[in-house]
Amino acid sequence: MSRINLNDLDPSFKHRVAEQPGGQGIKACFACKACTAACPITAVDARYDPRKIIRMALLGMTEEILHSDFIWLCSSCYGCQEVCPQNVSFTEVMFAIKNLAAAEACVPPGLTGQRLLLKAHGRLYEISDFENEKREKMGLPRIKEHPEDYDALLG
Amino acid sequence: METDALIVGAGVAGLWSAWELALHGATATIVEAAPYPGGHVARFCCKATGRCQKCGACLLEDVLRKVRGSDRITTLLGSTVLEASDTDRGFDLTLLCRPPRIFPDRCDGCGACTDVCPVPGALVQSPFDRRMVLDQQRCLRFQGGECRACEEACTRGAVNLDMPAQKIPVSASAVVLAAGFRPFDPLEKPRLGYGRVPGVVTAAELDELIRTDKWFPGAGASRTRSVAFIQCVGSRDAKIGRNYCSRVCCGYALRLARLLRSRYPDIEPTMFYMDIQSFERDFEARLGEAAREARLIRSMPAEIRTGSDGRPEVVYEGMDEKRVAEPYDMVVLSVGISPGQSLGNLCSTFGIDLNSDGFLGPDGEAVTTSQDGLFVAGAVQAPRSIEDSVSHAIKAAAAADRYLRRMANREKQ
Ligand SMILES: Cc1cc2nc3c(=O)[nH]c(=O)nc-3n(C[C@H](O)[C@H](O)[C@H](O)COP(=O)(O)OP(=O)(O)OC[C@H]3O[C@@H](n4cnc5c(N)ncnc54)[C@H](O)[C@@H]3O)c2cc1C
Ligand code: SF4
Ligand code: SF4
Repeated sequence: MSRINLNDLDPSFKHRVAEQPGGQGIKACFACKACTAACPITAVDARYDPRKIIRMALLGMTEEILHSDFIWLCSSCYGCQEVCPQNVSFTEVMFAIKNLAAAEACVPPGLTGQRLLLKAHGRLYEISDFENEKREKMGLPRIKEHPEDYDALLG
Repeated sequence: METDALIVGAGVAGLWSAWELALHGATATIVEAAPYPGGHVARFCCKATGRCQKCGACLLEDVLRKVRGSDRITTLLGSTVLEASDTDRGFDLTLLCRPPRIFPDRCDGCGACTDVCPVPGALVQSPFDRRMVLDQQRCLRFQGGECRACEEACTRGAVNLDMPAQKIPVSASAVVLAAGFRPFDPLEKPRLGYGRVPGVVTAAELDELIRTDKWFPGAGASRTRSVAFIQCVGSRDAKIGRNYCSRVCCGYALRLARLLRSRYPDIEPTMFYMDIQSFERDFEARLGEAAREARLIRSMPAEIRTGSDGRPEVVYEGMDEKRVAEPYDMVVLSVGISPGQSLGNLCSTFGIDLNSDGFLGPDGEAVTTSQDGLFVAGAVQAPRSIEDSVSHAIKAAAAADRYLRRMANREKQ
């Protein structure tokens, strides 16, 4: 584990998270670890640890959080919220943190790619003639893409 | 009937307030709903391990002896307050007094009645001797039913269900509410497995089993060796509206763990906690000793489930940042102190409010209420240990005594 230099910390970060919709619960955390024990992502990738992310945010490790790739691993299953005794609503806190990251253009390229796919095709996979011909052979209807709705949503 | 002070509840707090008032020369009448005095402490075991662990349970025996020996104190068991009204001299009250249904001089505690009773907990052994007592708040007959099973089963003619309950008017100058608390009901936290996963018990249940010599680790492959204590069950939990520390569970869990180990040295206790809270003298020393004998893990489990071998399994995030599902022979939930069941009734009877945590009377340490001459003592007002309940009760009795003297002086003038 690397050392933390107190001079590099950003005490305003927790307030910025708390000001986001859904982010206000972050300051109530007791660090009891129940959320981490309930998180299915932590079980497969220890870099994603809800309690640790909260500690990092409260300490003000802005760079380490916003530039990380692990904040994007949350599956939004709400398991952490279910067990938290302090109503931290960590799933919502994660949305708040991701919004801050997006505002600072810290979105990983994979996600930007997914956004472009959604905008162009209305889904994360392009449906080509190849898929539709296969579906027809199996007696399934063709899929028609409706990217217009997503285009309006994603601006 | 007239009394200087009427005291609601014969737990340590109520008994101690009565004793202090009697010491100052006042008369006190204690109204206790249960068929025996002592409140929760009557069902706790002594936790001495050869050396006293200062759990405070013996403070009850102490005050009971004093109260029984005082001719200024009357104790009415099986009784509650039906109505109360303010007068310029204090309170006019109506009590509902239910006579004991089991004659103590005839009962020899054989248990024939319990064997036939359809309601668990309606017939219980008195915590002070082997005789049975009937809890009329549970017995079917007193909820409008027709059951007479115990009366018919008793060969010694000790049960009599027909004596009528009486309404007794009382005037009292002051009232002390010492109605105590309710242990947290862990069914409110279904993930902890209580009532669903075999081997999960509450600390209150374990305490009582030890007191009545009914807890043994067993033998052979099924012997109880690993015991997990889960802290803060029903405490420090904003989600269920109990965002306060119960103040006693860290202490009692450490004592129970040491007690088990001193009796059965092969028992290995583990404590799961979020913060160890101490409100007692010498706590650091106790914690240090405990840490040598028990594993202390700062991590709250997400779930307790039935493992593949049928034992309870505690799911938590381990110290080395690995998800752990660990089987235990027994899981003990360190249940906290919740506001008592009868507080709503007491509020409407006496015209006072609950405080911010849902207990009775003001916030903080105060013993006075918004009503003149009405006082609160012990765990009815906030989570308190036995020792703290006793000091709060002494403070309440002193305030009530001052009030009584003021009233007496005013009358003289
Ligand atoms: C599992 C557990 C273990 C504990 N272990 C310890 C320990 O080791 N050491 C320690 O210091 N503390 C311990 N405590 C705390 C201890 O139980 C309390 O400090 C103590 O019981 C408080 O006494 P009390 O008289 O205020 O309330 P209670 O013990 O609750 O007594 C209140 C009495 O009032 C009666 N009553 C209630 N409502 C009415 C009514 N409307 N009319 C008439 N009577 C009524 C009840 O029947 C009861 O007899 C423990 C608590 C729990 C939950
Ligand atoms: S469960 Fe809640 S209080 Fe506990 S560490 Fe997670 S967010 Fe904090
Ligand atoms: S005494 Fe300990 S277990 Fe009980 S509520 Fe307080 S911190 Fe939690």
